[in-house]
Amino acid sequence: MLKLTKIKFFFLLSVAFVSLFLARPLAVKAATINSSFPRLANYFLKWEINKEEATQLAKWDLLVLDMETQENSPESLKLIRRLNPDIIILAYITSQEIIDDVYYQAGSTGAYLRSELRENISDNWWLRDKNGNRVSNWPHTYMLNLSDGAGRDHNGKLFNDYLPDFVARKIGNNNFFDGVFYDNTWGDVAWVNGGNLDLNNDGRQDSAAEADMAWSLGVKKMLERTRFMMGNDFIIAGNGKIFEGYQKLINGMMLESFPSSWENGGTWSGSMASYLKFPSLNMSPQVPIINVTKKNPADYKSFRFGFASALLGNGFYSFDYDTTNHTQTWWYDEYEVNLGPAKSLAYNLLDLSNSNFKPGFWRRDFKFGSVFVNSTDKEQTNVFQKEDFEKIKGTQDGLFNNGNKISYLKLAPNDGIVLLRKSELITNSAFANGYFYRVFNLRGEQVRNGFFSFIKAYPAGEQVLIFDGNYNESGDINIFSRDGQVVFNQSEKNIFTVYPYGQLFKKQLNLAAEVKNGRPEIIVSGTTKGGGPQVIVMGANGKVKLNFFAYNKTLRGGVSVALADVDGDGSLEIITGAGSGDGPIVKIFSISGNLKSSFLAYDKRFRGGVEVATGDFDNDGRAEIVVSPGSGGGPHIRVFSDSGKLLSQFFAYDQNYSEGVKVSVSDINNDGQLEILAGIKNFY
Amino acid sequence: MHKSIIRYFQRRIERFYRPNRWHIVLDLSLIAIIIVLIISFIAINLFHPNFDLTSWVTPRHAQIDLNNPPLVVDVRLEDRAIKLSDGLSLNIDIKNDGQAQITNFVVTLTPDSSDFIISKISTTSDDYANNLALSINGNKISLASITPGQEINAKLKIYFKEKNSISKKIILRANYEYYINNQPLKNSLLLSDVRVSSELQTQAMAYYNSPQGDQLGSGPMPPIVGLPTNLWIFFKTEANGDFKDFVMSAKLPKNVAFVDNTSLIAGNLNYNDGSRQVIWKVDEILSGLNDYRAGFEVQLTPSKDQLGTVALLLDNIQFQALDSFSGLYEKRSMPKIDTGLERDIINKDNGRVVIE
Repeated sequence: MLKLTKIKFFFLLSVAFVSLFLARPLAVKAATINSSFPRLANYFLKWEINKEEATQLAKWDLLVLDMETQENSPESLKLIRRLNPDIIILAYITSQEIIDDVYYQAGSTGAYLRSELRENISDNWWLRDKNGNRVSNWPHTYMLNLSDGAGRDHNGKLFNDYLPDFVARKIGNNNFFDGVFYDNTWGDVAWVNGGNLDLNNDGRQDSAAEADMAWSLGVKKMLERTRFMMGNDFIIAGNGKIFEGYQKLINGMMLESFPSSWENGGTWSGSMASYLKFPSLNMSPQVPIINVTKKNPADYKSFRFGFASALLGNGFYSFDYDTTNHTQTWWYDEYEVNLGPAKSLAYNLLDLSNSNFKPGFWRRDFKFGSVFVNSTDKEQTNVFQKEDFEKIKGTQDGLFNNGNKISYLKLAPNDGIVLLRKSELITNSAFANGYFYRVFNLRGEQVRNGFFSFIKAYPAGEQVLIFDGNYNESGDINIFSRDGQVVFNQSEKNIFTVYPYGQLFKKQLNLAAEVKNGRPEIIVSGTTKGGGPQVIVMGANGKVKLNFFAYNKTLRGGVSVALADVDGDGSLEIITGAGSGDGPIVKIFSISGNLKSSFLAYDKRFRGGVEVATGDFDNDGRAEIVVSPGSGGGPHIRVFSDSGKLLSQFFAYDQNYSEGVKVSVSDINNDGQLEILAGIKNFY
Repeated sequence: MHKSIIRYFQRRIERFYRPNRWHIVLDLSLIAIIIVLIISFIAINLFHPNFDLTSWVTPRHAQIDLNNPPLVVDVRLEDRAIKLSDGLSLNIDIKNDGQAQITNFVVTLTPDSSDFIISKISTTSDDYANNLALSINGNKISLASITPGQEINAKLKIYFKEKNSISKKIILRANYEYYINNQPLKNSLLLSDVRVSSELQTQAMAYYNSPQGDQLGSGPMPPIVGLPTNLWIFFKTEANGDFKDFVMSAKLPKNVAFVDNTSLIAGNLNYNDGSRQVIWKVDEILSGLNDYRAGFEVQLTPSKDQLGTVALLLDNIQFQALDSFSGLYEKRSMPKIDTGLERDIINKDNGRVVIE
């Protein structure tokens, strides 16, 4: 007896443990959202994804992919993750309807999950009318009854129990998806089938209030169970008309075919009001999505209007074909822009004191630009008094996105625009203060307007090194040269000054530095014309660590310096360019001053000197060496590997210009890619 | 020797002094007079070395002393430093101290080195030329005749051309010749050196697009009434000598605002909101360097009354600097800058304000 009791006790204990284990939310790694804008979503509902599509899709920040892709294209999903580790992928599942003939609709693709789902749909779970007929709201699908009025299956479960279980078991329990996208999550249902619905299966038509109440409670229960089973890190997104009662359970809603005809009056103002209001109720991370659909991918105005509207809030933007066809990978010039974090909320330039959404001339400011939306029916103009903006330089709507600097904006009705704040700060690469710089990509294409690199806080014409975009923020250390000195500044105040070549040397210097966490670790200086080719390596405290002549010490043409790991050995190299009077020799030294290699950057007869800069353009851990000629040479920029292999070359200015060019390497337009900056002293 | 002197005096005593004591008085007097004369001569030569003893014994009018001719010529420089464009002021004082008429007086002025040549000489007053019959031909100044006692003061301006920009010093030589009684006389004077101020080439220009096509400005071009057009204005200077304390200033006219975008490769640039003045200062400008440039952005928002006009962008443009070598200040005003954008090859002559 006792033995039996003991067995019962241990059995019950085991059951309790197993139950606790099963009841515990599944471990899902929390997704994080980058603070930068824009945030791009792709609502891509193919059931299979090939490699090419996967490569394309990896460019977006959030994907809504059909759940079948995990079975049909797991390698593609892995590829997307590999290419974009920060991407959020949500599994698309219809939450209140199901395809009637799954195999027919699947065609040649697999429909494993839908088949399983369909096979387990109890006949009691269909949404029926008062006559017991199944209700359809979308071609080839039948609706399911999410309310508690639906019957139970043979396991005693309702559909609003089964669906979260299915999601947890099949979707949430792998590394493919960060969450689920329930299509749809309405708060009402009485408008379906002309109101002829019988949610409690009592053989009579429910009143609208009864139907909506039962429906919303059922959907809420489904969402609650999903949350309970998957935990708070699992993203739950919904689609359809937004119902406030669900919002605390989920992470966001999609406004499909924005401005959605069903949402808040069907107007732009109504959709925008919902778009901006409900995320504050959502769980974190919030993933509201605006989806604009146009059959013409070149309808740039509609694209922009939606894109700019999405930027007025913190959500994601998706642009594709139609509500019946979300299978596009259309890519736009605006997607390439990095606006950085938001610096303001949206505000109406026509009614600054009123934050209510209504037709207006709306604006929102970001670190690297601003977005404008004209939702009125008239052209609107905004004059910039003390702001410097330029249009993005696009290839699609070239007249609109022409890259021009602008002093005022005229915007057509129902149009939007992204403007970039003029970026004139060269970081992590020394530049000549006051020079005019053109901005190029590695292929020699000008990617942004040229600009004057002048910062008042530093001496005109001297070399300046600003570290990692932390400019103007407290605690930053920047360095610059001044009459032969290297000056270390912190928060624009001098903290110490070094005379690397002695106090009598008053010429300008060339500078380079290794940066860690926005601060210089190692500083290298070279001289300019008038000084010997002496390279000095200093520590963060300005103390000289090494001192050597890179070229013939009797020459007085100076020496250009750069600092980077150019051979991928994990340690820094000092790269030098010969000064005027010597041949165009680039040398690579170890950080201890031992010569590793050298090559000729230009014709060996050229004696105008070589300027050097470095940057890892292809992110392979080996920085490339960018060179430009000194005075007497044309503006011929060349990019070399550490072995002296020519990787790219182009003329940065008119080929007849021969006053010399300074080079820097920096991500000047904040797009995550390094650019080559070619600077000249005078352009006339 | 000693014995022969004693023997000479013994013979003289025997022969002259014993017979008559007045001989000794006479000899002693003569010796005293000779000693006094010698002492006087030495004293005059020591304390008045230029004193001409011969003039005591030779009447002036009697003959011409070629070492001390009767024509007194004094050539004086009025300036110790000049700007080439201003010329050098020079005075020539001539006085005929003789009794005879002087004819064909010619002064030839020549720089003592080949770094400069005289391009022009003029009198500072036309009256002198007319009244005194002073004639100037190239670097020669001539007078037909100078009567005894006549004094002439000629004020001249001499202009130079620089043949070698490195040298900044003029040493002028004045060679003059004339005739007295058909006898030619010549002399030469080397004048003290004159420092020449360097050239300061200063420019002020406005651009919407750079000469290589980069967009610098923004907004409508041509400018539109009520809408802002931003343009960049540049000051640039270079010199063929060293200068100090360079200051360039200009005033923003109405409807033009200073946008706080600047770009300098030398000096400091400030804008005074009250006076609407832009001021660019450079402590030192070194010879031959192309390193002195300042740029700033302005915003023009034309008003209706500017419709159809080329709008003014910058007024009262002037600069000054101290020439380190000559010590002279270089001061100049420059032409106004407007939306005609004379130097902008893309937008030149497209600056008349329009209305939308």
